[in-house]
Amino acid sequence: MQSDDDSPQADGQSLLRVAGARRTFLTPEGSAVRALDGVDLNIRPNEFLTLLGPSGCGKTTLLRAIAGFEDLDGGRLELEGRSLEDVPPHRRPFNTVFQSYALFPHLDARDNVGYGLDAARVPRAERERRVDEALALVGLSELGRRRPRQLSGGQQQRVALARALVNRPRLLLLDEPLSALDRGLRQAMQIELKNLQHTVGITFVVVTHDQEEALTMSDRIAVMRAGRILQLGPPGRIYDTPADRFVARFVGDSNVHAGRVAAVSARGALITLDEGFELHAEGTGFAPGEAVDAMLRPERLMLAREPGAGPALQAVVERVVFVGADVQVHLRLPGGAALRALHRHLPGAEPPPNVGGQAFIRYEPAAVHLMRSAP
Amino acid sequence: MSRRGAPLDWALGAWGIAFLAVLYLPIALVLAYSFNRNVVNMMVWEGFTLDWYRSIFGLATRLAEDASYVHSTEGLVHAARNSVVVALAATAVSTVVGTATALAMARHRFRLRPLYQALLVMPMVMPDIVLGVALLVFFVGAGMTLGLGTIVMGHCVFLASYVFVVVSARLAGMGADLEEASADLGAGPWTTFRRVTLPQVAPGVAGGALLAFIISMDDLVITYFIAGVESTTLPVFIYGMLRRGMKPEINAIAMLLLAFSFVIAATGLWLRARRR
Amino acid sequence: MSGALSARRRRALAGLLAPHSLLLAAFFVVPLAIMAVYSVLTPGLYGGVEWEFYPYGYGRVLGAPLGEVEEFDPVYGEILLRSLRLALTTVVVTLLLCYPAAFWVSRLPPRRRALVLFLVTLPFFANLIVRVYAWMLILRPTGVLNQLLGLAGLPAADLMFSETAVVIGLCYVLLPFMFLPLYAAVERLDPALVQASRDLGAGALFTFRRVILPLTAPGILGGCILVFIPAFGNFVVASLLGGAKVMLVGNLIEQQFLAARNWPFGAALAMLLLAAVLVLLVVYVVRTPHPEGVR
Repeated sequence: MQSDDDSPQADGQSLLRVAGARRTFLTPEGSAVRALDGVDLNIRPNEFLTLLGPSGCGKTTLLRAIAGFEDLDGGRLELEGRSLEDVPPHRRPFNTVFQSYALFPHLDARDNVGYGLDAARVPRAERERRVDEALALVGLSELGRRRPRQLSGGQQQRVALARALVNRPRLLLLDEPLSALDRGLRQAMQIELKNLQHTVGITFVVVTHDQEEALTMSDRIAVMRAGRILQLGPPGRIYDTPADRFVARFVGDSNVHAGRVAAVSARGALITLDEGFELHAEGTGFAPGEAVDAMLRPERLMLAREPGAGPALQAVVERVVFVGADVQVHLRLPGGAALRALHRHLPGAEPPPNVGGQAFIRYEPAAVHLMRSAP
Repeated sequence: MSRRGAPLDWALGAWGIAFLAVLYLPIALVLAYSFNRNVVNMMVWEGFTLDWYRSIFGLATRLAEDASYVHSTEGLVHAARNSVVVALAATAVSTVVGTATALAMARHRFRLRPLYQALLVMPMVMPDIVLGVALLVFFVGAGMTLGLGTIVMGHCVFLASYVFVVVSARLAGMGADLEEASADLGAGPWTTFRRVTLPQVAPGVAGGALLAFIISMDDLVITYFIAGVESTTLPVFIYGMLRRGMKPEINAIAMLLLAFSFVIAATGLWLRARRR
Repeated sequence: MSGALSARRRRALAGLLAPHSLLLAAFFVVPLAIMAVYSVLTPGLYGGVEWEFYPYGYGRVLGAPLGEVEEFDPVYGEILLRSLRLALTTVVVTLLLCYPAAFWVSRLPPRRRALVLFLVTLPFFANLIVRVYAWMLILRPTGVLNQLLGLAGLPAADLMFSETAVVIGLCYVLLPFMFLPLYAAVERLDPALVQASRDLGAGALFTFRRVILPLTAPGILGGCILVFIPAFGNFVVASLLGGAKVMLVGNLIEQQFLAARNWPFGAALAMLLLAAVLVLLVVYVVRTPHPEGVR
C-alpha cells in the first residue's frame, strides 16, 4: 500500500493510529467479504480527514471500528500511543454524527444535545451553558424545545452535530453527514462544516462517497477501495497526481489511457498508447518500456483549428454537450480512442467546434500525468 | 377504476359486509338474549330485563330461584378473581422474560439463533392440548400441587413467546442506531437501556403485556388440565356450566367477559395506532 | 482486538436469554421429554405409569403387534381421520371466506381500512368460550337458526352435535388466524403489478393465476397452517358443539388423561399430534422462500 503522506515526520504528531486493520464479514450466502484488508492510517491532531470511496470499500467499517462499534479481526488502534483494544464505545473520547443522525425521538433538541453531558454527570449549570453554546454554534438556539420529528432534515443534522461537539471529543466521526440533504443545502453545509472544524479545533473524520464533497472540505483525503487505502494526501495532490487509474477516475473527470514508455530524454518522455497515438510527458521516473497509465484532465486540453507550437492531437468532434459554465466536447482520435475536453465558454472566445468537424487537441506535457499501470 | 372493475368491486364490497356480519352477528345475538326476560324458555323473547346481570352480581331479582345456576355468586366471583390473579402474575413474569429475549435476539447474532427462534415460537404454534397434558404429567410427576401456582407457570411458557414476538416487531423497526449513538455519547449499557432502549420499546412492551393479559384471561385448554379443584378460572368455570346445560345468565356472564376483553384489546390497538 | 467487545456482548446475551431459557427448559422441554418417555411406558392400574417399556400405546392407533391391555382398534384411526377431515374442511372454508375479504379491506380508503381492520381483529381477542357459546345459541334445536327456518316455513335443521356444527364453530373461532396472514400478503401486493399484467394484455383470470395467486401464496400457506394446527388439536369446540357424537383426537386425549387415566396412551396420542404439527411446520419453513432468496 502506498502511503502518500505529507511529510514522513508526520508520525510525531499522530492523534489516532490505525495499523494493519483487518475485518472480514460473512455474507448471508456464506462468502467472506474483506471490508478492511490491512489499513494503515495516521490521523493528525486538528485535521479534516475524509475517507472517500464507492459503497462497499470499507470506509464505514473503518469509521465504526474507530468508534468502537465493530471489532477488528487483526491490527491495532492507538490513541496517542495507547491501545483502544479494551475500551468500549462509551469510554472512547470520540463522538459520531450518524448517517441517519440517530436523534432520540423521545427527547427534544436540548435533551438530545445534553445527553452526553448527562451521561458524564456534568453539573446542571455547566450542562445548560454548554448546551446553549452548542446550539448557538449550529444556529439553533431558538429550536431547543422541538422534538426531532418537528425539525427539518438540515436542522436535525445541526442537532446531531451539536450533540456530538458539545462533549468536546478528541475526534469527531461523521458518517456520510450530508447525504440526506438536498443539493443546495449540501453545498452550503460543506463550507459550514469546514468553518466549524476550524472554529472548534477538533479533528474531523468524514466518510463520504461524494468526491466533490471530499475535495471541498478536506485537509487530507484517503481514497479507499476494496478494504484498502489507495492514496492519502491533500485534495490538490489527489486531483493532480492520482496514484492510479481508479483514483484518477473516481476523483474528478479524467481521460485515462493505457500505454508504454517509448523513450525518455532530458526534456521528457514519449508515451505510446495502446489505442495508437502518442503523448509527450514531462520527466517521469519511469523507465523506457515500462507499462503506464496516462491521465489527462479534460479542462487542461485546449481545442483549436490548427496545431500550435506545442504537442497536439488531431481528432474528429463527435458530440458537444452543454454542462453549464463549460461545454464538454467528445472527440475521437483516428486510432479509435475517445477523449473528452472542456471548452470554457467565455464571451469573445472561440466558439466550440462543430460536430463532425476536425479539431486539434493542444496540451502541455506537464498536463500528462503518468501512473503505475493497474489491471 | 375501469368500468370492467366496477361489478367486481361491488361484489367484493358485498362479500366484505357479509364477512363482518358473520363475525359480529353471533356476538350480537348473545347480547340480545342477555336482556331476555323469559325464564322458562330462554330462546323465546319476552321482554327486556337487566335481571340476569343483577343476578350475577348477587343483587335482588324477580327471577325464580331455579332459573339460575348462580344461587350464590360465590363460585363465579372466586373463578373471576382466580383469573385476574393468574393473568396479572403471568403477565408480569412473561413481559419481563419475553422483553429480555426480544432485546437479546434483536441485537445479537449467534450460531444457534435460528434454532432458538424456532424453540421460542413452538409454545405458540403447537396445539395447546399437547402443552396442557405435558404440563399435567410434569407437575404431577414432580409432586407439585395443582393450583394457581402451576397455572401461572404454565401460562408463562406461552405468554412469554407472545411478548417476545410483539416486542421483536417493535425492535425490528428501530435499528441499532440510537443505542450506538447513546454509547457514542458516553452512556454506559445500563444508562443506554434506561434512557434510550426502554422509552423506544415501551409501546411494544405495553402492547405485549396487554396481549398476554387477554390471552391468559382467555386460556381454557391449558388451564383446564393444570388447574386444581380449588383454582378454577373463569373460562374453565363457564366451560363447566355449558357442559351441564344452558341457562340464561350465561348470556350475561359472556357479555361481561366480552366487554372486558374488548376494552383491553381496543386500548391496545388504539395505543398501537397512535404511535404510528 | 477481537476479544474485548465480543466477550462483553456474549455476557449481555447470556444474561438476557437466561430467564427465558430456564422457563422453556423447565416447563416446556422437560415436560415434553417426560411425555415422550411416558408414551412408551406401561399404564398403571389406577392411573400413572409403571417403568417398563411398552410401545403398544402407539400400536393401538397405528396397528402394531398387540399388547396385553391395549388392542389395535380401527376406531382410533377413524378418530384421527375425522380430526384431519374436519381440520382440512375448516381450512378450506376459512380460506374461501377470508381471501375475497382481504382484497376488499386492502382496497378501502385508508381511514375506513383502519376501522375495518380494527373490527376484524377485535373478535380475535374475545373469549374463545364465549364465541363458541354464541353458536350454541344459534344451532341448538330450539335455537335462532331453527326459529328463522320456522318463520320461513322451512323444516328445522338438526345441526347441533354434528360434524357440521363443529366445523362451523372451528371456522368462526379460527377466522382471524386465516384473515391476518392473508391480508398481510394481499396488502403487500403492488397494484402496479396487476395493472402491468392487464397492460400486457392478460385477462382477469390469467392475471389472478399468474400474478395475484403466486404473490399471495406465502400468506395463503401461512394462514392455512395457522388454522390447521389449532383445528386439528381442538377439543373444546368439539365437546361443546359436537357432544359425544363427534369425537376428535383432542377429546380422546382429554379422555385418556382425565377419565380413562391411561396416561401412556394419551401421551402417545399427544406425541402423534405433535409429530404431525412439526412435519407441517417444517414443510412451511422449507417452502417459504427466504426473503433474500427472492431477489
